[in-house]
Amino acid sequence: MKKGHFILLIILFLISVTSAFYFFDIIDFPDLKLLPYYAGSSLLRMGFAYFFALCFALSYGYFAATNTNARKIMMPVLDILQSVPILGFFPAAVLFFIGLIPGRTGVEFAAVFLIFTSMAWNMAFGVYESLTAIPKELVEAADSFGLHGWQRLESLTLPACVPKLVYNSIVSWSVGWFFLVASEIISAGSDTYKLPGIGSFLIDTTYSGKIALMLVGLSVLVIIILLLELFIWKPMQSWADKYNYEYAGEKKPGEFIFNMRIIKYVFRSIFELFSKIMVSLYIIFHKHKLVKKSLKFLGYLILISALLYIAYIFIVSVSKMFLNLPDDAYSIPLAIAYSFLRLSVAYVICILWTIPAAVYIARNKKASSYLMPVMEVAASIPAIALFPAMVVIFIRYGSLDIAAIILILLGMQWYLLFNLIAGVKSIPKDVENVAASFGIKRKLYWKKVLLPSMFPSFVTGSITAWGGGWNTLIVAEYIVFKGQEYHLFGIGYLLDKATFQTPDSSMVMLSVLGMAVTIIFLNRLIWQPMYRKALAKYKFD
Amino acid sequence: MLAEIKNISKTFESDGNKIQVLDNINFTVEDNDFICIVGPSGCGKSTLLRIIVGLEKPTSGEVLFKGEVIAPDNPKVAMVFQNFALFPWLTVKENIELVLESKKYGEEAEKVACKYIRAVGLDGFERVYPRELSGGMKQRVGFARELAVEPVLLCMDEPFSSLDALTSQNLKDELLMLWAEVSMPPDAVIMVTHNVEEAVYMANRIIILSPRPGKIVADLKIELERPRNRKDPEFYRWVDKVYSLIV
Amino acid sequence: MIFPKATISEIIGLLEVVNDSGGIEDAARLAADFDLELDEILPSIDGAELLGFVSVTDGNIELTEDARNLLETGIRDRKKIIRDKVAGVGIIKELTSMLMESDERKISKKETLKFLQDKIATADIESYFRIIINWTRHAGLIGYNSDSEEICLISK
Ligand SMILES: Nc1ncnc2c1ncn2[C@@H]1O[C@H](COP(=O)(O)OP(=O)(O)OP(=O)(O)O)[C@@H](O)[C@H]1O
Ligand SMILES: [Mg+2]
Repeated sequence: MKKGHFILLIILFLISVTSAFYFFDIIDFPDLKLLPYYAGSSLLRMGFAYFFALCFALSYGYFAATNTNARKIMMPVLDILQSVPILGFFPAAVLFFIGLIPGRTGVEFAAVFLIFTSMAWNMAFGVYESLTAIPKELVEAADSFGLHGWQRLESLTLPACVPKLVYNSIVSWSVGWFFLVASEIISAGSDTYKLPGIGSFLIDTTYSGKIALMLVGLSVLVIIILLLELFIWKPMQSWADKYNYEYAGEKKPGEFIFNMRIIKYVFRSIFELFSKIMVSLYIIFHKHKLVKKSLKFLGYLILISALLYIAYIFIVSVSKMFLNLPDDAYSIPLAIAYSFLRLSVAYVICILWTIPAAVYIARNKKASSYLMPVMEVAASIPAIALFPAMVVIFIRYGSLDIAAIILILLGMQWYLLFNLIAGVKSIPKDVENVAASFGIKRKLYWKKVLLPSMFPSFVTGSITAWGGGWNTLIVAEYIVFKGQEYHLFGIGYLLDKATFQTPDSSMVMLSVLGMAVTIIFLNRLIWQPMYRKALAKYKFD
Repeated sequence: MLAEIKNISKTFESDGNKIQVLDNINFTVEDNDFICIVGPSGCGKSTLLRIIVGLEKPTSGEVLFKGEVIAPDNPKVAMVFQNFALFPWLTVKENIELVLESKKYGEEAEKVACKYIRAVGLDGFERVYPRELSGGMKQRVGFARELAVEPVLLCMDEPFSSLDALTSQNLKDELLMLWAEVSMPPDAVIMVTHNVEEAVYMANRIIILSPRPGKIVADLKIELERPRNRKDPEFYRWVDKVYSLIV
Repeated sequence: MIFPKATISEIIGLLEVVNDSGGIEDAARLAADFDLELDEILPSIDGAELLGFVSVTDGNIELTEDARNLLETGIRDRKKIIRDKVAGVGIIKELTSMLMESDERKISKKETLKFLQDKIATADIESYFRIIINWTRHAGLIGYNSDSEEICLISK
């Protein structure tokens, strides 16, 4: 049985269960009938956010890759944006959008904005990396064929972005679902705004203790995610492989059961349309000198005024904050330490189970054909959607600390697992043969062969896992269930408290700042050196 | 008699299709044999070699090494790989020591490693990582590593095909020099190649396989003096002869 | 000055091939024999000439006495001959004496690259660095530690 068929089977099962609830009034709940509408609204929100993220990524990445001066500022900024826990900025963004456009439209904008911020950065990195990695010969070939302007964009620049953009889009969507759930119930200041959607449905049903309904909602969410996976991302991947000059010939096109021309055709047309738009914009901007010059001038003007404005806000608010520190501010370092401890515990558990599991799955074809789809389905469920269920279980039977660690684990482990599996699979066959023919086994094999070859994927997996962990943390330390509030002391709690419970904008700022500094510190001190080492020493040629 | 390849056949099964790759291969390996296996691409040369060293199981037939069935980690049979298959996180010396460690050489490991590093002319490179080496140097590490376990039978799958012409010329000569040294392992070599000149230059026996499924077309003894000269008319007669048997 | 971009293995390979043709061979014929472009084989010829293993006149490559000696000996003794030859190459002589004078007999890669850049004006100095290290390692003269990014004298 192919993997695709197995996923299809799971989808059919979930659909039948869900429709049973939907059509035969097993449970009486008015909102149940609105589920399709909720699902549609959520999907639309995701779609809008993705569209904006795509536009942002292409223009930001293109600009940073082609303009060496701008790159020096743009890439570090992107790096920081990527490592800052986005959820923390959310209240401020909501207030901004509601101030701009009052009413539901403003809230919708805020939600889309939040999802956008979770999608855009890694895609922009992807565009930047693929543009800078275009082999020199290709660029020279394009030069020698006299490919300029739109021809160049169409034949070189955009195709070069496709593989990474598709890969990063998949990552972005899975992160996006997490933020969708978080964004549909928004508290800003003393007001709470609720948007109709699958996320708010999940939260509503849980908070009012209707677990069966929550499971129905969850299954709808999973169905959507899996359908997207099968009918959009898989075809996209096999289509994107065509553009992969690095692996040309070596890599088989992605496994895909629905080899439907139509889907491929649709995506090609969308892509082509998109490139046409980009190209015409490019022509307008670059052909006419006057337009180009004035645009450049305008761009610098906007950039400089924005920078000045940000600096002004920053100085004013920082001086205000430090002149008048809230009492809670002093507990921020300790809170970060607590949260860090929780993350570390989850991370250690993660390592302990994912390494052997990855080796087993990667080595065992039979097992992986059944386990991989199941794992992918499990991984597709945003951890945040499971938290309410978690809480219910642990309020009755255990401690909230364990629940939080399990939730963080859920937010971390898949990144590590899938990266490690890919790592084990990428060990060259000859290297395995050497080990086999010299009888390098057991302890020596793990120590000298297996673990070192997994190291690069372990580092990449860990970096993303910790990113996911910090985001999960924010929802893991504070929860309202049946009108009652539960919390664990930690930076996530401080942030939530300052956002929802006793609104305090300077505490929000300080918490986010503290967290961001910690994360950037960890990245610079641990992950980046490790990553460099992994690339230099542990990669097979 | 060193090894006996008896009635080897191999059929691969993928997606329900059966592909027969090898068809009833029989030959024996004697002491001092330098056998080259040649044949068209895809005829099963690599598969045959992998069966001989025990990395792959034949569908039928067996390989006997000194009268016993072969195990993949038998130290008496070693394999050199086309793409070197070195561990990037280990230095030249550590790469060689690794295979000795698994054979329980203990403290001897370092001495043995050094001996073979010197034998292939790699001294000075002990603490270098593979990524810093040129292709020729990498394959020298490959040779040193396989020789270090002191195999009786050395198998090589196109060991020169990823090197440039001049480097591979140099390595072929060095390999023949090591081969000529009586004190050096191995006692016999089986080398897969698709380069007929290379086979005539190195081998004293050439086994020619037919297109898939591979059958033995001919088993030739090459009676040419060593060192051989590729400009020698006699050499060319042998090359022509092998070509005529392949086509 | 330009330094030939050929490894020691390639150079010895070239000597072996010329030897097969009786010790003298036309460069163009040689290239055709190996299905190589002339400029693919030129670095090896230049390298062999720089080391004093061949003399080149009118496109004819002729082995020197030293080359014949080299080809007649085993792997161990080849190493000694190469050591003497490589030690005599100008740029390597200078590097060796720089190392002798330096503290702890080590020089950073950065400094070495700068030194080479002055000698061989090129955009691609890294690959020349690699070739020179290939020669000096073969000769057992100068090594390179990629962890500390330093070159050092190989002690006997
Ligand atoms: N594990 C496998 N599963 C299925 N088919 C295989 C497998 N390994 C090899 N084959 C097939 O067996 C045939 C012979 O392969 P093999 O690698 O032995 O050929 P070869 O003679 O070494 O070819 P080349 O000259 O290209 O190296 C090929 O058609 C190959 O596709
Ligand atoms: Mg093969």
